[in-house]
Amino acid sequence: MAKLLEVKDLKKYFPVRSAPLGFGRKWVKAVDRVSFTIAPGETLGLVGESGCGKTTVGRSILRLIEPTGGKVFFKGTDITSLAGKKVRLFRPKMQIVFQDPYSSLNPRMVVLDLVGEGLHGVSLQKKKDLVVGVLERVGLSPEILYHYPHEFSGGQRQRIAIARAILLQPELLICDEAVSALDVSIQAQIINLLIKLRQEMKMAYLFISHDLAVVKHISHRVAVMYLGQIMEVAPTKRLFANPLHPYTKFLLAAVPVPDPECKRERLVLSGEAQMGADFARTRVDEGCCFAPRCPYAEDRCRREEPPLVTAGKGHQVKCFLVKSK
Amino acid sequence: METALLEVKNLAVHFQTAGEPGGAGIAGGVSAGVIKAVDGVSFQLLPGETFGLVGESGCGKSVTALSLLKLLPTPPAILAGGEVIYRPEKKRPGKDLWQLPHGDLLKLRGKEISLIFQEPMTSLNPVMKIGRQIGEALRIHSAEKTPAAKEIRREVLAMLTRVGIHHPERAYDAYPHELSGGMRQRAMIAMALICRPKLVIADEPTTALDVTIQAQILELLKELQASYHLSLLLITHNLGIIAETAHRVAVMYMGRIVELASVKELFHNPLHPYTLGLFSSIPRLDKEEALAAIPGMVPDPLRLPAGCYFAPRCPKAMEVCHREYPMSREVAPGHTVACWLQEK
Ligand SMILES: Nc1ncnc2c1ncn2[C@@H]1O[C@H](COP(=O)(O)OP(=O)(O)OP(=O)(O)O)[C@@H](O)[C@H]1O
Ligand SMILES: Nc1ncnc2c1ncn2[C@@H]1O[C@H](COP(=O)(O)OP(=O)(O)OP(=O)(O)O)[C@@H](O)[C@H]1O
Ligand code: SF4
Ligand SMILES: [Mg+2]
Ligand SMILES: [Mg+2]
Repeated sequence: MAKLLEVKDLKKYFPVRSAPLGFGRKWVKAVDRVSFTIAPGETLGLVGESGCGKTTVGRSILRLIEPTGGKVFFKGTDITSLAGKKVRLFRPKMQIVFQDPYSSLNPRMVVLDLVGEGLHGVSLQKKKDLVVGVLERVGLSPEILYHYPHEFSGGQRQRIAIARAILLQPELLICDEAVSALDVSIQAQIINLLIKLRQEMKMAYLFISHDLAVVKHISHRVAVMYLGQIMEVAPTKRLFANPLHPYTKFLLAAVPVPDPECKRERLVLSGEAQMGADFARTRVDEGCCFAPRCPYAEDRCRREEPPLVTAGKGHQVKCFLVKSK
Repeated sequence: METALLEVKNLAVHFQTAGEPGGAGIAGGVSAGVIKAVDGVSFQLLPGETFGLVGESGCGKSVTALSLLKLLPTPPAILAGGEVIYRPEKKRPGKDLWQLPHGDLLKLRGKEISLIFQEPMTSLNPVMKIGRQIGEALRIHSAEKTPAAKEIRREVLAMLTRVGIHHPERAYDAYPHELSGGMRQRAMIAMALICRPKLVIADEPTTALDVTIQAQILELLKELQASYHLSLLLITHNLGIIAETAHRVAVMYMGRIVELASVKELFHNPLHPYTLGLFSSIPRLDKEEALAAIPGMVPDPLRLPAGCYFAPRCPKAMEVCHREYPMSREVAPGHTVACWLQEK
């Protein structure tokens, strides 16, 4: 399958606030050697708990922040090495929708200008036509053209943000917690909308979320992140039916199931992920980053970093306990 | 039915809103008027049970919880009506918390009835060490003589251990911001339980936490509830949490309870179209199904529909639904529904 996006060894380190400059300075490895690909029209889900680096991956791909290392290829072009102006040529093809439609839409602009902002050198009439067309696509009425963001509910604002993102027919849409702030009944509407648009416009999604059920619902493949690294990636069905990484198993077991009769093994992971400036990972880069919480950790896990092994078709896992096939 | 520990009858809490210039946009905006945030809510909390209150944002869950102990600032809140009968001793008549002299209510708060919030920082004092805060709660609420400082320290450390804090001494001497979110939530639970309350009100206690930490906290709450025989009023928008934690549950929509039943009954035989809509809106790990979203959105609380509040979004709405709000009726023992479809 051709690759639309290829991310290779992506790294983003942030300096730790309190550490002294220069030698011995500490870094938060927000994204640590992350690699994956997305095929045209494919949805890759990116899950993991707060602070594991999901947003940083998304923003680095678009170069909204500069990665510390690694490469990002979009349709074969290395966009990490492009100079500023040339990056802009790729922008229309790669768009992003954020969690918080309240802060991502300029409060002083009306819908027509918000949604049509990316259009240049077109007549007003043409702009209106295009915006009305895309509003209809996302289930909004053309009557709202001259209204401001504060006049809308959260779900409507998210529709406006999606309309804005898809106006120029991107091939890749990065959804960063795009439905996380919404109530379930509205969340379901937006998920269904994203599924419909994906089919109609043949877009690929990088769907970032901490909500495993949502990710399972929308993704073709899923990558699980922990402390800046991808621990497991597999086709969705496979990952949820047969998770292999201990972290993935605990993560799945932690999701409350809306069925009071559901009798299942209670797997509760102890401890907490230690990441971010307050914790500044002090570990030397040794061993598996999940080892401190992993109940199956052996001596080797604390000494050596496990390689990413292939455990089945499209299924890769970073754990010594998993044998490669 | 058993004698209730807490009996909430026809609770009504309103807000007077001033509105904003140019309010009332497409989605309602903000205009002036009275919001009936809680409008005739009734339920009972039995000794030792977990009662879940579920519903979407703005349906009145927090207002219900806070008003029970008169914790809402008035104004803007208006305690418009209702009774909150607290009956700690089965043989004795209960007392209405809303009619209690302020001093008596203060004595109950934190001692017999305590609260756990979504964000521990709202109830923890940021400039006081964890151990002292929890000890303070114990000292204030000790009946006659104040226990010795050493005694208090011992009890606090025991409680910190009880809620799963591995280095209780370290946590004792830490300020709230020095703890992780999960640890702060444990500290708040310790504070809520230090006086051995009979009733704990938990408003979205795990919503701000990661799923693995959420699982730890929910296990802890379940376990503490069983060992202390607590009654727990658990507020959440997460039906999964309800299924795993609650015994009975009430579903709220626009300030009213639309359906109330045991958890098993509600999950296996949901009757209100809104409850059904909620169920078909949630993506699940244990099933593969297309999502059937509820169409439309919640009405503007200042311009509620004439009949059933759910009628504009309801796939089964009939003519009468748009005219009159349906009465709540008991369709099976312990299962009540407010929907015209049940009037036969
Ligand atoms: N600008 C920044 N400066 C310093 N550290 C940062 C910065 N942005 C992110 N980080 C750190 O990088 C790590 C990864 O953050 P990121 O926002 O990518 O996580 P996330 O997986 O998106 O989390 P969430 O689910 O909470 O959105 C965190 O430890 C965070 O504190
Ligand atoms: N201080 C206030 N002033 C005006 N209106 C208020 C105030 N507090 C709450 N309300 C209104 O009361 C209604 C119920 O709010 P409440 O906070 O109880 O909702 P909730 O069910 O807890 O929602 P969430 O899931 O978002 O916490 C809402 O319409 C809200 O706007
Ligand atoms: S009363 Fe009518 S509108 Fe309301 S939920 Fe029942 S059927 Fe739907
Ligand atoms: Mg993020
Ligand atoms: Mg609330």
